[in-house]
Amino acid sequence: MKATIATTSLAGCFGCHMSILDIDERLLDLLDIVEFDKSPITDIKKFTRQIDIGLIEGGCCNSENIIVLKDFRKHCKILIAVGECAIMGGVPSMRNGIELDECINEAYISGPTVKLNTEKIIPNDPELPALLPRVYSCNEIVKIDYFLPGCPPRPDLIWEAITSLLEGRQIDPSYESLKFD
Amino acid sequence: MQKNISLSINGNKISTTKSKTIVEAAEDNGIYIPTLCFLKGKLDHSNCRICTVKVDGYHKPACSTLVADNMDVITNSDELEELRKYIIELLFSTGNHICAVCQKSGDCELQALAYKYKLLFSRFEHLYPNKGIDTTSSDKIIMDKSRCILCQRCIQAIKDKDGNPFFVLQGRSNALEVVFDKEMNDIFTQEDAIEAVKQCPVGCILSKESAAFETPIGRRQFDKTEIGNKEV
Amino acid sequence: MKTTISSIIDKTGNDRHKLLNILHLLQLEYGYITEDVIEALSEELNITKSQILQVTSFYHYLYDEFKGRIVIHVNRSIIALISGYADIVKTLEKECSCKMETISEDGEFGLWNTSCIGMSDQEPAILINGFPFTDLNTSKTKEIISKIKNGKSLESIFEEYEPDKYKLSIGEQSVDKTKTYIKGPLLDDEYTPFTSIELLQTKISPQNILDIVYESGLQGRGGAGFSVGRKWKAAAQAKNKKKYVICNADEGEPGTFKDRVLLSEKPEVVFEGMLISAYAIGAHKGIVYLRKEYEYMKVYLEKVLQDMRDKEFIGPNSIFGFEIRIQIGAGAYVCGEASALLESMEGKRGEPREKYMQPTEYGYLGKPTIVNNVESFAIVPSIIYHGSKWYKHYGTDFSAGTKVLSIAGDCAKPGIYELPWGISINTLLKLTYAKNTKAVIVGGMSGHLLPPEEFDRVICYSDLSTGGAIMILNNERNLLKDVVLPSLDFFIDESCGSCSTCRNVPGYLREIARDMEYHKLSHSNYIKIIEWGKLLSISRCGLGKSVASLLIDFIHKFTHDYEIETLPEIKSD
Repeated sequence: MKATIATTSLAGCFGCHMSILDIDERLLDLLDIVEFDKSPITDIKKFTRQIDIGLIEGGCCNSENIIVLKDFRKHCKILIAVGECAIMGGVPSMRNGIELDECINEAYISGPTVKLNTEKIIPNDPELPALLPRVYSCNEIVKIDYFLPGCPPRPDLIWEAITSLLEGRQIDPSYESLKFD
Repeated sequence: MQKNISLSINGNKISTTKSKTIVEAAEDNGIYIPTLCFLKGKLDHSNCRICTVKVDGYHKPACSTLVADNMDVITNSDELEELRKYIIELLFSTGNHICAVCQKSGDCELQALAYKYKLLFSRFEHLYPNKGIDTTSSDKIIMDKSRCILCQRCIQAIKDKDGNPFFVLQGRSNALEVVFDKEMNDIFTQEDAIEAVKQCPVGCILSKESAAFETPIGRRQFDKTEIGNKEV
Repeated sequence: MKTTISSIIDKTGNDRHKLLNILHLLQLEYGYITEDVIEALSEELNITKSQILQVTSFYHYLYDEFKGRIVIHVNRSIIALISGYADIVKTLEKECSCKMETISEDGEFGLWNTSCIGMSDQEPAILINGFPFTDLNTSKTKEIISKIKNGKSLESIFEEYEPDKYKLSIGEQSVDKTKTYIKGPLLDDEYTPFTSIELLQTKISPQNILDIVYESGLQGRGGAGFSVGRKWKAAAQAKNKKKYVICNADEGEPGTFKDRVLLSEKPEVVFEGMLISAYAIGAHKGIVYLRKEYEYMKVYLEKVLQDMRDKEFIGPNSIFGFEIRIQIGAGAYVCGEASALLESMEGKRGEPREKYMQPTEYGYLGKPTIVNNVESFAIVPSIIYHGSKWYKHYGTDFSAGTKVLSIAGDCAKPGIYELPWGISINTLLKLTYAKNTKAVIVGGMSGHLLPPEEFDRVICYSDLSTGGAIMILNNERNLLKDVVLPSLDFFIDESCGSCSTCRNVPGYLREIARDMEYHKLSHSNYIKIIEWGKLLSISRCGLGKSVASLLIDFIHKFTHDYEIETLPEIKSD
């Protein structure tokens, strides 16, 4: 039976997903041994079974991120934080030293590029998830089993990680595949 | 008047000259000891502690311990490597080191050490400090203080002709900071600025002149070559 | 302003190394180091403002902002916390109408915490503009503040409430409120000061002194325990002709106050000890580095020095031409470390030096220097007078002599005990009439936290080595809240910040310790404490190395005091 993989992007840029796709022709080899379940790649929205490996891109910047992450933890045997944002907050966490109000104000009201918001409205639709006071890394919210650093992680690192996990080997990234940028 | 000294590093007998530090003596013999704050010729200054080695059974900083006859030095035990990993993680977590947006990335010594030790994440909680960015004190450099690891190399290495430093310390304990001495701006030359950027092991001191991200990924200092590996 | 600053600089000598003294005088003049002061000073001394700020921002007692016309430092040591610190703070906050760490609206009062002012036997204690007020309670605190408010001069209030200390502050001899319960060869009055000096002139050569001190087995009494004789011999062999003798009176270790008592009651023998060491190593200048908290006794110490000058024991007309001056510190625990003390004396930030060179070769201003504790110097005259064998018969085989212990906390008789090395904690508890003792801290914040099972351990260099601070805690105390957390707060506050380890790790440890108040100690946190303790041990100086010592003792020896998730077997190294 094929192993199952689920992926999601929380407070991320989808760059890590791009990097997954960037394993190029090995993607075909991968599809021989795994099946993608809930993931933006398959557009499956809900978990219907237990999954072997969950790949998390991005940290948690809003309330929805936390719900999704906890849902992943519940349904995935192994959870991997993929990319700097999932590991330590990454680029979104650059707001962490600044008050939330100040960030929102800069983004929607007083920032130099804000031209069209003449009525000075801060998005307030109740459907929008609430922003958290700071961005959290995934392992601050749930237990994370493995970490794949990089912004995004090199495709080789992702390939090495998934295959070695499925084959029961220790992950041993090459010097060139382990980079933080 | 240089005296020959013989000592053992990791069980290998080596000979060297007096007044060398363990780091230098090891380097001459092809043994790399990681350093961040070390500056050749400056001893009184070992802040990062990453070069800690075992000398005759005691932990000593290799960058400011002089070689002595019959010294027994261990540089690479599991214990020492573990301590080094901890220090790298500590420095990553207590500053804002987001490599993707840092123009030093690829040439950063802290990052290079993390690559060397294959660090995947930090066991310390990230603190996300906001110590501000100083863009006004100097017309040649900016300082992103949240990235500073307080190695103090800029203080030691860059001085005016009377020996006064361009960078000074401020505060103490976990509020300690390195700041650029505004009053020295007039005599801070472009060469000094380039040297400061070069000395900074992380992306704290950056030049206002040179364009950021000039070197493409793949050709930067540590993209393919491990730190301490001499075959560049 | 310029003329005032010029005159102050002229008085102290236009010397970068005298920066601390200059700053003290300027602060006295202007209340705090204002920007204008720094501006003018930088012009006078021809250094940049940032370089001055570099020094001022290092010390607790150099203020870079207005701290109130009446600056009140409230002692927040372990003993203060268990003796009613909270009540005093409450009263002060009410009477001064401001919260701790702030200034009252009218700028009259400023309330600030400080780590330990060396009054552990007289807690709670506070410093008001540098004058210590001790044994406080709510009503006494109220009285003192209302008297200040009514315009009574601080000196007269000081005289009224602390007559013993007031006398010292005006240069008169006095016996401190601190009780001395047991006297030994150092504190009994059998030795008449200055008798050994007479011997120097006639019978004893410098080499004799080095040999006697070496053979006596005297070890440094500040805590580190380095052989005094060996240190002196190294300095005597140093080739440089200019040498210094420094007396370390920066008694910053929380819980200890014996140096204060020695200096107020037996300053003559301390200075005599310095003189003897100077004669032995060939030094001509001696400096007493007195902590800022003890500045009130400076006038008295100066008077004793003047008497010695009059008798021509020291000064330009004396036989050896040896001179002693007093340097006031500026509030930094780390300056008790010899090399940090040297840096501080040179008018710099008090950061410990790397140990590639010993002070005996490269010390104060780069000259050979010996730095010894007050107590080490104080016993030297008696040793010279009676000989090394006499001294060796006190104590144990490997720890010669006696130790002056400062004992405080939950016991009926807190005070000074001079006892031979080798005494057990049990005996100490009996001597001090301590009851229901839960724990004893030996060696202050950087020492050991002992449970009753270990009260048979003895105080000596091979078991419990200490600078002399003993704190006793009874069953009512919450060790986590009263001891461990304050110790971490203390180290976070006092770290110089040089080492990456000591600057950063204590904060993480405090988070774990705080967590222990409410949650079980998890296995992973347990591992963290042990591992991070090791990480701290590679710091440069003793402060960094010992940050976690009380915490580690606590989690190993007081397991019934908190909940543990699962505790693995403890491996001993």
